[in-house]
Amino acid sequence: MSALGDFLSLALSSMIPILVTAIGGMFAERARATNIALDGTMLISALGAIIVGAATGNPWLGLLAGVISGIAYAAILAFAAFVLRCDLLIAGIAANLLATGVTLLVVQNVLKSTGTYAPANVPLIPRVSLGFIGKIPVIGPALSDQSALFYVVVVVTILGALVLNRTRFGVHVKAVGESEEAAEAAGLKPILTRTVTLLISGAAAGIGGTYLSLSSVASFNSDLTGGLGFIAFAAVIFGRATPLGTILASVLFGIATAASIQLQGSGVIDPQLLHSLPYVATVLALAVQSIRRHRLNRFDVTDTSFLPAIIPRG
Amino acid sequence: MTEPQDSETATAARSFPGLVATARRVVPLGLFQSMVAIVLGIVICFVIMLFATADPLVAFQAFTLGTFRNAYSIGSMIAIASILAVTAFASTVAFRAGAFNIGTEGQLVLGGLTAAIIAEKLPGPGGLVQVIALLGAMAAGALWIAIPTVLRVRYRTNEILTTLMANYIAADLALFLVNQYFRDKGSGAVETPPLDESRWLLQILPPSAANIGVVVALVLAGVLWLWFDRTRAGKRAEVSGLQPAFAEYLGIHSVSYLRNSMLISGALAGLGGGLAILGISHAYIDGFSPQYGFLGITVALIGRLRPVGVLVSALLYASLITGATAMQAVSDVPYSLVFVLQGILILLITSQRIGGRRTA
Repeated sequence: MSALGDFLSLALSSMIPILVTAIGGMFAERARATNIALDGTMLISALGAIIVGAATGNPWLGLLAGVISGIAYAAILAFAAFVLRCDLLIAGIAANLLATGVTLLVVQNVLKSTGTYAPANVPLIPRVSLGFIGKIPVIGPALSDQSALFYVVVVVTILGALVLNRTRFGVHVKAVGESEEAAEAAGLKPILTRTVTLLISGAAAGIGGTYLSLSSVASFNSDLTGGLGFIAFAAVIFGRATPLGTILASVLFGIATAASIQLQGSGVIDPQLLHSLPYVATVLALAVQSIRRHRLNRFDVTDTSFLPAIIPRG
Repeated sequence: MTEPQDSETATAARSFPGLVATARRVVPLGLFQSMVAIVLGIVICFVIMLFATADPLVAFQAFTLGTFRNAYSIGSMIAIASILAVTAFASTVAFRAGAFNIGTEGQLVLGGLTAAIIAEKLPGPGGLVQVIALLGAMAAGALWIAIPTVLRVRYRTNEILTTLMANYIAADLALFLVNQYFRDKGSGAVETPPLDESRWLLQILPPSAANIGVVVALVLAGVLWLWFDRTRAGKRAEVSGLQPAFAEYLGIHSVSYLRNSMLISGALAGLGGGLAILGISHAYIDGFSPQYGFLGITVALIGRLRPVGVLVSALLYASLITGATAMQAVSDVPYSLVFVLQGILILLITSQRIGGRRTA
């Protein structure tokens, strides 16, 4: 049964960056401030985390730097969208392209390394061994020796779900997303709320990015994310921007990623094809969701079709 | 504030569920804004150089004027510009119909691979094989966007996400196909065997890479101009992109214009890949495209989705790319400045605050 435990462990560790980033993206999506720049934000914060981690020798300061750079990058996006008044989607794509350029520039020019920046002796985020729990079959090997960030992510996820569904701020976010005019009439400031949700998504993507560069091997190159941020965004969409849906979608994509890694070792199917499994799963998930929605909405004649379709009705 | 431009309008969703395209997301803005954006973008690059190198003026001069130091780099610029123009046309066609094809990179890679394989395996006279290879590249590009297109047109799946994911899948697929079936056994790199010289596109400024691909780009510009401005189909496609519900009331089947535009967009991106393979790299080499697809989006936006504008901005951007290569040689500012500039330019160009007319 240890094989299953190992697989679960792999699935959990693949899920961590997707889940935390998606939980942040969920806030932005609910306020109808679609953050498609999650991938670029992860990249920027991965670089920020590894630089500070290497300079200070403290991985937790690295995490702090990752979160701060994620927030800063999201602030740039918010600036572009609300001050320069760019279309948010296009600004997000521009921000992703910009992130590749900026990280390449920093790695090559400031850090003087050609492609991959791998500083020596960087302390990694510690792994937590769970003692006796590790002895339990299946669950034990799955849970023990996960990065400490796993627990951070669990806390962030629970907090995110509570904030969205159980606090005043969460109601404001949903109100702004569902009807900007009504929210404004009720005295909310839609732009402010949207900016805050964008910053939240930046901070969350910062944790995801830090996980990528400081959890297993301390190295950075500009392909580090490999589209993980987009997969996280797809998890938001597939999960209809609800906490539970987003978590389930992240688990699904985490399992797909783990399956792809696991099968690559087995040599049954070509590793290169398997590498694309998470992306194929994402496209399939989006397709399934929109087909289902299409079926549901076939006879829908209410005005609520005005809402962006991913905001759950009722 | 933000118009509900990226969600369906109430009327559209109510009257024709699933049958109406959504409105265009990109408003092409004025010439003034393009100018402002380019100048600002280059100024920002200069500021970056101030921090990045001890001698920013040398770097800046190489970046902006480095292309024109000899005939060879002018030739490279023309070669790159023709590919950028073609990929920018691909983005333009999709933008105009209200779709955001961000998967041009993947279509280009698979188009290039198809062209390389056809050109290598197919016997026959060089010119004919080249034409077949380019047609094959177009078919591959169109095929690669077919699934996102069907999903978008029938089920309104967000085409931005699906085409983007298709990029990653295309990269994996191309690597798999080359490694498994078409790899040059004698080479350490992931590449197909070098093409015979009869398969190369005719070079117009030897020894540089400039080739008759530039004629293809010019002809395409002419054809697209005719299509956009001088045919009924072009106007209908534009109306479908701008106001799908209105188009339906005019009796225009907006969805079929959307579908055709997306397929044509994919085909053009594939063609760009074919031109890059037959014209520049002369073999499928992993990473042959320095993000031609994504750069094409920028070029299309700078060119304000107009054929002539795209040609001009492709030349401009290509000169900056070749200039960046020169800059990397003479100073320690890396080539990746081009990608920074690209992101900044998109932000500045789509901004409705800078010099643009306000859209109510």
